[in-house]
Amino acid sequence: MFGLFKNKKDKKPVEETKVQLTDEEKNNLNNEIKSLKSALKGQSGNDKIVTLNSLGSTYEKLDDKDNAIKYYEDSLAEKEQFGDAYNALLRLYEEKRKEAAYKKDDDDIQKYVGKMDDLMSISKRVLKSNY
Amino acid sequence: MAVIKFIIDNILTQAAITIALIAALGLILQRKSFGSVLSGTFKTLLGFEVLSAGSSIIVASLTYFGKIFSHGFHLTGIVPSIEAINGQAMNQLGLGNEIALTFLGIFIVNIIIARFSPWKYIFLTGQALLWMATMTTIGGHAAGLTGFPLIALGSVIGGIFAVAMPAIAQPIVRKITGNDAIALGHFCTVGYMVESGAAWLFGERGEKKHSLEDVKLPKSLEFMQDTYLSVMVVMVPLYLITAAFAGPKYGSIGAGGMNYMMFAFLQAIQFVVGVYVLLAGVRLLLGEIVPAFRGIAMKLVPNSKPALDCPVLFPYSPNSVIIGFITTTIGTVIGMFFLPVFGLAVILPGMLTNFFAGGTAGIFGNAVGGRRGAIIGGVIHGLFITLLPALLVGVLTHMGFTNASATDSDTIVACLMYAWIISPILKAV
Repeated sequence: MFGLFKNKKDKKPVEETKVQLTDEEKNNLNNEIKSLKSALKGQSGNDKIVTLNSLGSTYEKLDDKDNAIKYYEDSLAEKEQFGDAYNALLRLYEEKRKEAAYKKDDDDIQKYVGKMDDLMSISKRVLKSNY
Repeated sequence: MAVIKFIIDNILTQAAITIALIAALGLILQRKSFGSVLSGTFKTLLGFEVLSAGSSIIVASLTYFGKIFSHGFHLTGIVPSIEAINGQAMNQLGLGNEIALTFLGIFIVNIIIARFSPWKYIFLTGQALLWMATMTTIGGHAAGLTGFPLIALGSVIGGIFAVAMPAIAQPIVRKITGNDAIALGHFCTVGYMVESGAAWLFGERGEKKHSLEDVKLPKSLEFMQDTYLSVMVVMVPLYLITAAFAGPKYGSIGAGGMNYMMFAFLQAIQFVVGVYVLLAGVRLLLGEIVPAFRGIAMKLVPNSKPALDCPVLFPYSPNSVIIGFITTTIGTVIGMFFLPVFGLAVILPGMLTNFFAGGTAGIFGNAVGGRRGAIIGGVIHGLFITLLPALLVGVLTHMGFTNASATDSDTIVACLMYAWIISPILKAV
């Protein structure tokens, strides 16, 4: 209780499971981004959302949070829905918020806390529009 | 001297001024420009006055409702609405100043606990903190406290709740979200734990556990799409049925020649208008204060865990929200008929609480006890959140509140703590 005796084995925070990428892996991911970006042109609807989410998650693997956020946000802007983009954004905003807090960067703290607020509003809207 | 006395007696006793000064302090600490400080301060002042205006509208409508209900059913009918309680405490009871300062105090205590203890929760739902400040102030006032002791005790109790409630919910929140980054900051947590307990007792376990998310739900709750519409859908029939029972003699009190059913209909609409105005006021009031103070909190406690409002959990379990809402509503309706048998007041179901608290409770129930846990737990949650305001009615009517009781379960528990534990201790010493 109160987080003191919590079962930690299956709920490691994201950053702890992150491994250092080798140059080869990085190259592969960058190539993947290139091909995803070229596929993005001319796509629309669901295909576009899938590609945007893949771009987001590939950038996340590269630890490029800003680009990951950009593509996930684009995905959510295409269609407000629950799913990968929403969950990833909540996680990424919180990570960015924490970084900003350590740097004592007030503008960024407000920016990311504000973005989390926006996610709450989206959550309410999506839920209500489903019923 | 005369000037200082004038300032203390006439300006600082005005709650609107106090809360505006708190906003100004937050903005100055953030080193905002002079223009931003000024505009933020006045927006806060304006917000407080809008809130008061909304409160007057609600009280007028509830006073009418109270009359027709007691003539129609010979019982006391209570509308659970934390907004109405807050408005009445600030205006009719003149506790606005104390509430504003307690609100600030809770924030400070929250930051101190998060900074120096292993519990790093920072409560970010400003509205909920305002409700908590309201209820600890009411509780302290009922226990006979005034001035600094009232504010200090309220701040400590509220601050402890702001850390303890996210901490208590966190083991289940982790189960729902699959990570430990985000916490839940919503003062209905006692209710969620009641639902979780019931779901654990009566729910499915192990391999038999089926999530509600595997079930396909029909789309038939369209009225829920709009918050105010959903309040109206309940209040209009409630007022009309009650007026019909009260008859034209009592139903037309204050109607000025209008047909009594038409008047009851318009009074129901007035209630919704009051909630609309009051919540707009709350948004204006908190729009400047909350960002300023959470910026400060985040810098002082960089490794904090933000406790966010309940919609943070909706995406993980949208079906559970709907089932939670329905089952909680069933529980509140059973409670409405059942509690008067024990001599308690009739607590009318509140749709907003049923949706947000009931929905979130449904997520907890589903996480702990699957389908069956969510359904049985939801009904028990509905009964529980009807029982709490009913227990509180005694404290509130004694103080002069009009036909209203609070909603969010944690704030009620805090207030009842004053009535049942702190007040007897104070009287004994």
